[in-house]
This record gives sequence, C-alpha cells and structure tokens, in this order.
Amino acid sequence: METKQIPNLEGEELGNLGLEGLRLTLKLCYANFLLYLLLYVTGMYVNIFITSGVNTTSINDPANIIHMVVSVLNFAFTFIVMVVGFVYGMKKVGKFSLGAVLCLVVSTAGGLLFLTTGGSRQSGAITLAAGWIMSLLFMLALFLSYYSTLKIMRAIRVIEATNRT
Amino acid sequence: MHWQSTKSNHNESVGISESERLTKTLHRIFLFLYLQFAFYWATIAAGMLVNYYYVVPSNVQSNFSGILLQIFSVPSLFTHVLFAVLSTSMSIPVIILARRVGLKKVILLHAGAMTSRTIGFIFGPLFVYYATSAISNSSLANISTFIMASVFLVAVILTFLSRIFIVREDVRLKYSVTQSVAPITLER
Repeated sequence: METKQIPNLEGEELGNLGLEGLRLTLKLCYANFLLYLLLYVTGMYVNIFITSGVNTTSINDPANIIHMVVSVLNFAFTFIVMVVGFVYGMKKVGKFSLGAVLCLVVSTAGGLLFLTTGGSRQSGAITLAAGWIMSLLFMLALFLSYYSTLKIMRAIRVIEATNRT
Repeated sequence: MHWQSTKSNHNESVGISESERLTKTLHRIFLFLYLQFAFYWATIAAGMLVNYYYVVPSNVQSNFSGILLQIFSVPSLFTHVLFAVLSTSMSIPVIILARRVGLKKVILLHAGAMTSRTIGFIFGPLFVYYATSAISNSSLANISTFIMASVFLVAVILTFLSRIFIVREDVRLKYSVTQSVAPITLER
C-alpha cells in the first residue's frame, strides 16, 4: 500500500497563478528592483550635484528626464505586480504592492511639486518639504515592493518543496 | 520490531525539536531584519532632512573633534548618524544567529553590508570636512555625499539578499520536516 503525505500549508499564500506565472512575476519584480536602483542613483545625483548647490533642477535636465522615465516604468511594474497579487489570490502581495503604488503616486506628486516650486535648495519651504516627502516615500515604496517580492519568492519555494504545480 | 519503531519515533522527535529550534532562530533573525529595515528607512528620512535643510556653519573647525561636535550639536545630523549606527548594528545579532543555523551566505552578506556602511561612516564626516569654510571644496563634498549614499544602497541590497536566503532556509526546514510527519495521510 503506497501512501502519499500532504504537507500542512496553513499560513502560506500560494495563489492560483501557477509556478510558471509566479516565476515570471518574480522576474518582473527583479526588473523593478533594477529600476528602483536606477531611480535611487539618478535621484541622488540630481539631489547632491544639482539641488544641493545653488542650481535649480530643470525639467529638461538629462538626469531628471532619465529619473522621470524610470519612475514611470517603476510605477507600471509595481502596478502590474499589485494587479497580479489581487487577481490571482495573493492578497499580501497585492496589499504590499498597493502600498508601494500609493507611495509612488504621492512621491511623484512631491517630485512634481518640487520641480514646479523652484527645484533648488534655496527655493523655499514648500520645495524642500516636497523633496523630502518624495525621498521618504520612495524608500518606503522600495521596502513594500521588496516584501511583495519575498512573498512571491516564498510561494515559488513552497510550491517547489511540496511538488505542486 | 517494537524497538525499531521506538527508535524511529525518537529520531523523528529529535528531528522535530531540532527543526523547531532552527525555525525559532530564523524567526529571531526575521525580527532583527524588520528592525534593521525600519532603521534604514529612518536613516534615509533623517538623511534627507540633512540633505535639504542642513548647511555646515562657517564656525565649524576642519578637524576630527570639530566635526564630531557638529554631529552631536545638530539634531537632524545626530538623528541621521544614530539611525545609521542602529541599522548597521542590527547586522551583528543577525550574524550571530546566522552562525548558529549555519547560514554562511547570510553571514557574508551582512559582513559585506557592515563593511559598506563603514565606508559610509568615513565619507559622511568627510562631507562635513570638505564643506567647512577652511577647506570649502564643494565638488569633493558632493562626491563624498554621493559615495555615502551609494554605499548605503549597497548595504540595503546586501541585507535584502540575505533575507532571500533566510526565507529559502525557512521553507526548506518547514517542508522537509512537515512532509515526513504530516498528520494528513492519503492512501491509494
């Protein structure tokens, strides 16, 4: 008599996307991390070499254009992961990504306010507050996206360990 | 036959308690990582306050004690340094706990994170040094800040990666044991 034992999967959020779909989503998450990295580097470049001096951050500045294009892609990727999370039964992935999306929306608004109110350190209190909110929420979005990535990675590992497809 | 069965049960219970101990250690690592990420975030929050609002006063001396005094006298600068130290120090219990469960990659990643933060601790004060009125070299001050920010990101990435390995180990432990002692059994 052959027996097959079923592991207790209580507390695990595997969703119904399937292993291949999860792997694809994980790749998207990793690509998103590269975008976060690029956003951080370009943001720091603008922040330190342009804003910290007397110069203003022009909307036409190449570093600023790269930063904004990458931020649009970053938002799109995070949004896709959020939709995948909610649609395919991974609520934690969806919630973490939703948090990241909201942070990115508010930080983008902060970034735009930063630019439109002068875009330099000497432009006044609103400019600086907007810049600070942008930086703060960017980092929060990074952490939230990271946690949703971990949840996807865990789901893949659990499915592989329990030989489910 | 009876002896074999008892021995098997004994091995299983030893396996479970060992696994439980390892799982508890992993969960303690998770707690320290949560704290570390919170401190990272606070470091950035305070760092950006420094970045946007702080200007090195003209009376700051361009020597070690002058810079140290400046760190302790400006609240935003002090908070930034405090959270930077706290976030870096969280790697110490993680390394100790990772040693207990034999997660070599986690140890190496956190050692790397601490090293990169140490570089940041050198370039942070250098920013103040180059910005003092005696030195007044804005390009080197900017480069110092950029290096500090870059190594901070390297540390964040390294600690992120460490968590991936801990999750892998957690899943491996949970399901390698669960599969052998699972209460639900199907017969076919």
